[in-house]
Amino acid sequence: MARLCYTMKGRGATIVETILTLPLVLPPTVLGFFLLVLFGRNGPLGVLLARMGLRGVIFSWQATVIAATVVSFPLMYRSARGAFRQIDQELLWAGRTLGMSEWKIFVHVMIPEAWPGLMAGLALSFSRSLGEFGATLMIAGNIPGKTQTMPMAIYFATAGGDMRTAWIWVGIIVAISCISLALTTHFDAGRKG
Amino acid sequence: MSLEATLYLRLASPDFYRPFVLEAQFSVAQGEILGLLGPSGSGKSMTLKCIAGIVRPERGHVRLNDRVLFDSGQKIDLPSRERRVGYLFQSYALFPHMSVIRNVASGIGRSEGESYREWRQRADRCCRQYMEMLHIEQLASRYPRQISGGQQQRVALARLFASQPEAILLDEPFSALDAELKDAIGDELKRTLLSYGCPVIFVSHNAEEVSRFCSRTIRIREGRLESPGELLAPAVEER
Repeated sequence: MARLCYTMKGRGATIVETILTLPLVLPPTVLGFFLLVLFGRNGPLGVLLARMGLRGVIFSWQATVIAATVVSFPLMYRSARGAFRQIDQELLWAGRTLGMSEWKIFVHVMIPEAWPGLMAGLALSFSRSLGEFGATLMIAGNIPGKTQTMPMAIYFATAGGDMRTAWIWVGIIVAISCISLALTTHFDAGRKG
Repeated sequence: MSLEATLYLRLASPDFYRPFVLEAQFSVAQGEILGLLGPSGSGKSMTLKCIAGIVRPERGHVRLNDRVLFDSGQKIDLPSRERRVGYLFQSYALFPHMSVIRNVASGIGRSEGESYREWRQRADRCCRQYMEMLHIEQLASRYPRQISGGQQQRVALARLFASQPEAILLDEPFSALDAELKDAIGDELKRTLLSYGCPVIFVSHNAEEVSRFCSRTIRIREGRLESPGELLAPAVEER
């Protein structure tokens, strides 16, 4: 994913970037709708997956993964791009004039240099994907033990009056979010220091 | 061994009324240190960047020994990686998260048919050799931010020598050092460069520095070389 971001940055393809960042600003339900159309039984990707022997991606746990990935990807992408852009260009040119391959420069110079930013992006996008609700509901539904995600469990537990279950899930999510936010702050501080 | 360069470069810059034009033609012989002297913005660094393949000139020809690095007519443009031109950046551009010895080793590539172990051993020997030559062997496990400016410069030089360049470009190598250190390091650096024995270009805005350090000097102003007659052929091409 990070490597992809780098080449994207190199090409400077605005259109690709717009499409990649779009999930950040679109309402989750709209996103879910698009995913449903894409991955549905007659959708282009749905047909492709069916040919590969993967039937019925929609309303399975794979669908929740797809939704979470699509929704959180822009955050990761943006952070990674920002982190890569902050790298001193002279370091990269120094690597090149020393005869290092682009891959070696990427692994040994770019990744370590951008590491705090990459980690912060990872924590952010992870939290975002945890909280994914709209798109997941659209594409995966709410099948307990199969496609039920934590925010959905909370929603339906509260709606059904089961406050005890809701509290447990809320507690878990708050804890995980706090930890990842703390990590983000920690890595951000590391980047400045 | 020699380095020959003919460059024509036009940069559209929004800050200037007319685009910046760099025209340069010169050659540097083996074991010679050529000084490029000029005020900032005159195109000295740009000249080096064209030779190293960081900036691509519009027209021109760069030849190092018997290899053509760049030729606009023949559409030859070797990537920096394959040019074997060592570039010492003004800021030294050491890799901050690598220890000194890993920095020095970073330019030593694995040659064909060489096992991983052989390569590591060769890299290690090579690093030790240049680190000893530059008196930085005791810094091997330190990180760039933990050492002084003068030491950083030596590390950058060791890294440069270890990558076995066929030409060396020095971009304001003393600008990050204080005057005292400059005097101390200057003579030694000159000796080291001469003993390595490849064409060297030294870029600076300081006339005294250049006259002390270089065997020959070319002045550069607003992208044009002003120099003693036999060194400079007429301008590359008409504007």
